[in-house]
Amino acid sequence: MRILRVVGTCVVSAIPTLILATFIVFMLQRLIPGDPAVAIAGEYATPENLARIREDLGLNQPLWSQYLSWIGNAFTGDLGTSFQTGESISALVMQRLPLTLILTTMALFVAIIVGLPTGVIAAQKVDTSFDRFLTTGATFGIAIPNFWLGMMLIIVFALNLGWFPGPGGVSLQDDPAQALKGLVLPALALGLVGGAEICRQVRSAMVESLSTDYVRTHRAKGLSNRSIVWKHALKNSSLPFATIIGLQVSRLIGGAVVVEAVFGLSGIGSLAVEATNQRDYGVIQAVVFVAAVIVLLTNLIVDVSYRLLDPRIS
Amino acid sequence: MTGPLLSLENVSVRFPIGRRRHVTAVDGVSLDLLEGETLGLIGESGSGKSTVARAAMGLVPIADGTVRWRGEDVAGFGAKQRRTFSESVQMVFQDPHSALDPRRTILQSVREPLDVMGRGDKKDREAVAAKALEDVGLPSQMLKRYPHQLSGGQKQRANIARALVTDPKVLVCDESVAALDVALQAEILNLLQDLKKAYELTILFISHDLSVVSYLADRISVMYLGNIVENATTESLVQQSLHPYSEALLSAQPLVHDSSAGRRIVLKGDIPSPVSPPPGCRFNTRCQFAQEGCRQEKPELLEILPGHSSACLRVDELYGERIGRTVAS
Amino acid sequence: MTAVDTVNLAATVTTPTRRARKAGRFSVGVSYAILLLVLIVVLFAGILAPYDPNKQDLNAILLPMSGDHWLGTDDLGRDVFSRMLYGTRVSVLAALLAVGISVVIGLPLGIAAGWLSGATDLVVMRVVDAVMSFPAIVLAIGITATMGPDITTAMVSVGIVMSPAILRLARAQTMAIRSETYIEAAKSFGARGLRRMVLPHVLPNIIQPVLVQVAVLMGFALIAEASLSFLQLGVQPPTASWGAVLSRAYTFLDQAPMQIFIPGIAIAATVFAFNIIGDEIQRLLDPKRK
Repeated sequence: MRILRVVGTCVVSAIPTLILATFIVFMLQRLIPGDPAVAIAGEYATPENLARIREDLGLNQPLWSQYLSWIGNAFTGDLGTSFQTGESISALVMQRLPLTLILTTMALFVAIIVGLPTGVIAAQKVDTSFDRFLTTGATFGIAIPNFWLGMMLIIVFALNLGWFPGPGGVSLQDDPAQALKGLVLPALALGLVGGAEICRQVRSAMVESLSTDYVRTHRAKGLSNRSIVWKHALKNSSLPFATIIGLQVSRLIGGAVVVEAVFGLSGIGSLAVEATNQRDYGVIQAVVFVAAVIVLLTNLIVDVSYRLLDPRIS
Repeated sequence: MTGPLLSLENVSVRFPIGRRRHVTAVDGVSLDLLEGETLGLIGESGSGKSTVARAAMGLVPIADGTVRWRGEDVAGFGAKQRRTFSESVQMVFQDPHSALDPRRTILQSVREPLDVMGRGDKKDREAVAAKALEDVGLPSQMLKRYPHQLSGGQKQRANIARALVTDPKVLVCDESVAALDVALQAEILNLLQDLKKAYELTILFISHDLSVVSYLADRISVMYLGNIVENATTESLVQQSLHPYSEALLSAQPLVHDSSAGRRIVLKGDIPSPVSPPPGCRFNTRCQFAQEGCRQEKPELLEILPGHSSACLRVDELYGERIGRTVAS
Repeated sequence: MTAVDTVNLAATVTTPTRRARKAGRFSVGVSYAILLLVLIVVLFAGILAPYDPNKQDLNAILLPMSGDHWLGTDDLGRDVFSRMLYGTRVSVLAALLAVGISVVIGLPLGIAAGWLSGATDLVVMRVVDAVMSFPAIVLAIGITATMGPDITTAMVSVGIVMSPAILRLARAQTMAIRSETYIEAAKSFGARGLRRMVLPHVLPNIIQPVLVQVAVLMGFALIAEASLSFLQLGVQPPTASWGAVLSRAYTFLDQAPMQIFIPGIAIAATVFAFNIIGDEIQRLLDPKRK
């Protein structure tokens, strides 16, 4: 039962990070300028109202006990209630989360499809003009703000060619097919930039891998270049790839927040933006929390696959 | 006669490796460095000889034993005594290139010990540094250069100059010529001889190369796997070594070895890992004279002849004729 | 080095072909030109701008490009060219602020963690792991949204979330040089502490890779400024920045589509230039090059 043991080890070693990360989320509400209760209820709130809010937030208790009760609630799915709508924040988040997750997954596929082959080819042809062309292209790709690329895609493919719906997508629940179609352009906007990042990272990992003695031995044995590059060197680079993908998930979720705003998609990103405009601090906090949990889970998966892939780590 | 200038008493150094495990790099070593002498410390790489130097300098923590400066325990020194000690004992490192900060000029590097000790004003310090650089034979146009612009020999001269600026009593040379080619080695060794006279130095010279050590040293200590196995004057060691390991080292040195012993000793294999040293005599795995007893009892370093000690259980059997004793049984 | 080694090395340390080198020099040259242009605009926006960037003219809203208004006017009749020039200053200064913050946080903590190791390192790296478990832009949004939208707040947040990049690099570099002989030599004559060890020996020997990272982070910070200002969390009206101009233009996408090209191109070109220069410094610092 190696897998179980490995998963167990990884989970245990992730716990301190989880505690600290959630503590950072918790401390966000301490950043609310002035009295949080006043900030939430407005300047004209009655004293009773303020007292109730303080009670709700547990502002009268010591910090650590506030944190403990907050974290306890958070992990049992209670992220509080929205001060604007009175709705359960978890319900709000759960309603918005699927779209963001689908968008991020689609974007990740785009990024891998674009970035992996180009990175490998660039490494194979390292220091030729073709490599230079690819890497310069990738550097330019990284430089493009993904949300601006989204706007460009809207202008070309939605407004001029009309192939895809423009901003203001259909909700996933109403018409899944149309909603997915509406996710193609944002996924491209995110994924192409992500692909450029992956290309550069894969290239440097592969260049390193191709210069190992191990690969040189294969070359000396007379293996075809193709088999060396795509089979042996690539397999040898599987550990850096896991890291690269893990990193990319974090980047894509961050990018999704902004791209959702451009495309008017109702994921957790636009939820955070709406909450900002309405000073709905609990919702902002919840979105940050959920984003961190997703990244931590991704890191956990990367960590587990690391240990399973690498026979040296036991 | 006054006591030794610098002495190590039963010093052990251990390094942690992983959880609650450690390796004993130096195992109960005692050395006396007498004023005005050159003491050679010789051993293979991994024998712990460099660690002995670092322990003497206070660069690695000591697990057991005492380092004494003019008879006083260094561990009990206050800030002022510690500074005097660190001014008095300076070190010349093995790799002349990496021992100089690549981002500082030669003059800056050589001046630095004085800066740290806050001696005089900047001008005086620079003058002292320039004087030292002149003493080691480095042309003055080198002062403003960076290490990568100097040759290996020049860099090692700069390192020696840096060790001299505080006007030390003791110079610890850790493999100070090992990284240089043979012609340069001779140059630097001669320089050290000259400086020893000019600066009235006492030198602890550490090397794996017996020909280098025997050229410089008045006395030699031989180290093997964290232990000292033989102590003798250079002459006595070369003429009548009393330990199989020293003999092996000598037989690898055709120029200095007195072959009248007629015995050629070839070391088998590598030095064992200090992480799991062999039981009994540390040398038993590679000693051609090892017997059952050698694998059980660890020999002590005993004075066999006046001023000549050896740590070998079979010293009487093997060297009986040299020391004028016959085998007991 | 033996002949065999030389052969092996020739097979691994590749040398760029001539055409590739030429292409490389070209993009480096272009990048220097872009950064020079940006610098000039940052310094002389006031002289170069034909109009007051905030002056509204409701008789001239959403004008197309023309001789009077090179890049047209926005929905309030403000000259977009002037707003872009002033916006360059705001965006670049904002990015500098963020990068400055991340260096101020990351460099000392990274050196401390790498130098002291042990418990300090453990604690610092745990916190770094925690900060890195947030998507950078999300945490920056979270902090800014909570503290109230404002460019300074936004860029300080961005600086905080970027600081692990500097910190980890400084730590790794410090750990790498900690066992160097010149450090041990300095210890041997009693050099200790900030003034005698860290400032003269550690810092100068780790700073070059940190500079490469700074160039890369400048690019990241510019995109972050644009993102946050686009979400109205960054610069507040009427101040112009690249992100703010973009945000405004996007609202009127169908009337004046040209206006969203310019800020995007400005951002992409500048970030590109910073990344290329970062790569170039990296290449120049590579000890294998020669």
